Amino acid sequence: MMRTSSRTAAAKGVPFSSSPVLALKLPAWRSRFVLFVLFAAFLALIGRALYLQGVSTEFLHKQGELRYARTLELPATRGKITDRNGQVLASSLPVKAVWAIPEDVLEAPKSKLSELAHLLDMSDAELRNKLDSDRSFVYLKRQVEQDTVDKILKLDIDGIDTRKEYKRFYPEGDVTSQVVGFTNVEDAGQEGMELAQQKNLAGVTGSRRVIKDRMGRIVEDLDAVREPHDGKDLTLSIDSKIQYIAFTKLKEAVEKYQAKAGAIVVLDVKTGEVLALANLPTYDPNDRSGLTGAQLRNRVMTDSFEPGSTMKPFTVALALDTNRVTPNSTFQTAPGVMSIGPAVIHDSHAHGVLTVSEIIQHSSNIGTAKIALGMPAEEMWDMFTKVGFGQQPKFGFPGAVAGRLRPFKSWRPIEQATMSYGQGVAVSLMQLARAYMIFARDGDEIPLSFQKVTEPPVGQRVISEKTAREMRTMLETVTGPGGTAPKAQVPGYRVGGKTGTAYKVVNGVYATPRRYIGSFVGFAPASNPRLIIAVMIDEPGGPVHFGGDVAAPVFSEVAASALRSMNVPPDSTVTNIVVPTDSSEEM
Amino acid sequence: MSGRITFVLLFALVLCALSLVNAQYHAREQFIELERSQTEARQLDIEWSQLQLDQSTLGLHSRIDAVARRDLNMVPVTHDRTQYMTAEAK
Repeated sequence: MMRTSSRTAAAKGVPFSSSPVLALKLPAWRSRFVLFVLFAAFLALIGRALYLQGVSTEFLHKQGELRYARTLELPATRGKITDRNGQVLASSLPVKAVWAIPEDVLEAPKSKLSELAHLLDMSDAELRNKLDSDRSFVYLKRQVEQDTVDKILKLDIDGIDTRKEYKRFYPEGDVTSQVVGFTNVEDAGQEGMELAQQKNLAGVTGSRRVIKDRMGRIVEDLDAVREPHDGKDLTLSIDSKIQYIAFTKLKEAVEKYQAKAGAIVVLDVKTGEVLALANLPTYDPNDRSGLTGAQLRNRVMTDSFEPGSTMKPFTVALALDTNRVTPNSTFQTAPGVMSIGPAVIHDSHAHGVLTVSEIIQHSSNIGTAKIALGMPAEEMWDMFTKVGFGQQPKFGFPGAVAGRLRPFKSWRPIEQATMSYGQGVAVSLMQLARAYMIFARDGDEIPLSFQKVTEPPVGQRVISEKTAREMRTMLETVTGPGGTAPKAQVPGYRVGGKTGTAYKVVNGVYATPRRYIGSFVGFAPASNPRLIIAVMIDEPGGPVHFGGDVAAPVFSEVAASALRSMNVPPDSTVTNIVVPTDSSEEM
Repeated sequence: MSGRITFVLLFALVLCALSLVNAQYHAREQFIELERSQTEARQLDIEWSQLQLDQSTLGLHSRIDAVARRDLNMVPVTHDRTQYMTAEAK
């Protein structure tokens, strides 16, 4: 059909070349117009290309990067805290924070939600409470350990995700908590050395911009990497072995004497390092729910108390150093009562005539007061200040107190007398322990350190070497027969020290009925002291409350174990010690 | 003559282009390897911290004390059962 029709068309007779359509004469502008349009289109394309390449390239680059470049945060780890032998006291490990988009999560089936609650260690209601929020982002739980996180992610609930963070672990728990302190969930120090050394311990987070391929692998760095800087590790001066001994012995004593609180500090005489520092009550830094202020308080550093008789050696040392007395000068202390102006001071027992040495040994208030009244107030104030009383300590420990020592110009004679045996002044146990350095160290005072000391510090002379030696001999008699602290004796070692039993001051006045603080500060071994140990037992509740009874035994036990663990050779052949029953002679 | 130079240069250009592709490929491969090693280093670092912590936990003095007393029936050294050897004593 087709064929025939085309044939007919051809047959009808007009050959192609003479087709009338071809002969049609179009106006010339039409072809030019088409040419122009085509040319203009090309121009537009070139213009567009130039625009993309030249003018808007930055914008396009950005858009491109958005699709394949990622900024990664490079977390920095907080530095570890170790003891002097490298034992870890605090270390950060990565954990996860579990967060949720409440809207999405609430759509999950009930059974899954209750399983989630179970894994997060909370009740269904608690979880619902957290999810019942208008916000689009809710932390369900922070610092969740990896095992648990894996299980949670396996539940495959929509809208649950995790974020990397760090958790601090404290293997020693409550034993070292008072020194080390702790951090909050943001890994920032809150107490103790964690707070004091926050700047050094905290790391600096880094970042890098990278290109990732479609598998999520990093292919290339875009900018220079901002390296993360991990926090510096901190080596404390603490010896965890001595710390453990000090802590357990203190705990035993506090329980045995039903005391309200207790504190102990052990110092290295040669380097000024704090080898141990413990407080009771204390807390476990790994579980800080239900913490009270009393548990948190570092009594060694932040509590000041009236030291009582532990002050006497400083008064006596000053008198010896200025050649006002010798160890054998005598003072009449009978009848055990002495009036100074309108006030009266007492000895717990009347002693009669005592030498200076015996005044220390029996801890006579009257004897000390008589020595003190022979000296100008300014000199005494000077002495107390030089050994650090009333001075803000530079230990680098948060909250360390200065104690209280009034300016000498306002001292009345009765105050000068009572201050000579430690009433009317307030010191912290740390200050007291440090002050005893002048006796243990042949007369000079060195700065204390909570961090490991590599080179021996330079001392500052307070009293002469001769005075220091004489004082050591006197303080040794305190722990001998007839002294106030025979219970401080250590088998195999000669030790010296001084007891103190002070009335507790509450709101500026002595508490009634009388409440006591029993203390003992001593050094060992006496021939060449290596350790200073200061013990304070706060408000012993039992029948005994004298420093020689409640604090001295702690000193003895800690000194014995610590000296042994430090391999200090014994300097005494006495191995059998007869410890008398509770003494009653003391102030 | 000039046609020959063009040909040689073209050949060199193609070679360079190919080697560039190859180099880029290797660079990325090695970068990924580096990345993997760094991740591993971090992982090992964490593991090391964990082990250190474990060591501290297992080496707690309270634990040693308890194990020695309870399981091993040990008692602390007392002074009268100790003989000290000092450098001076012969």
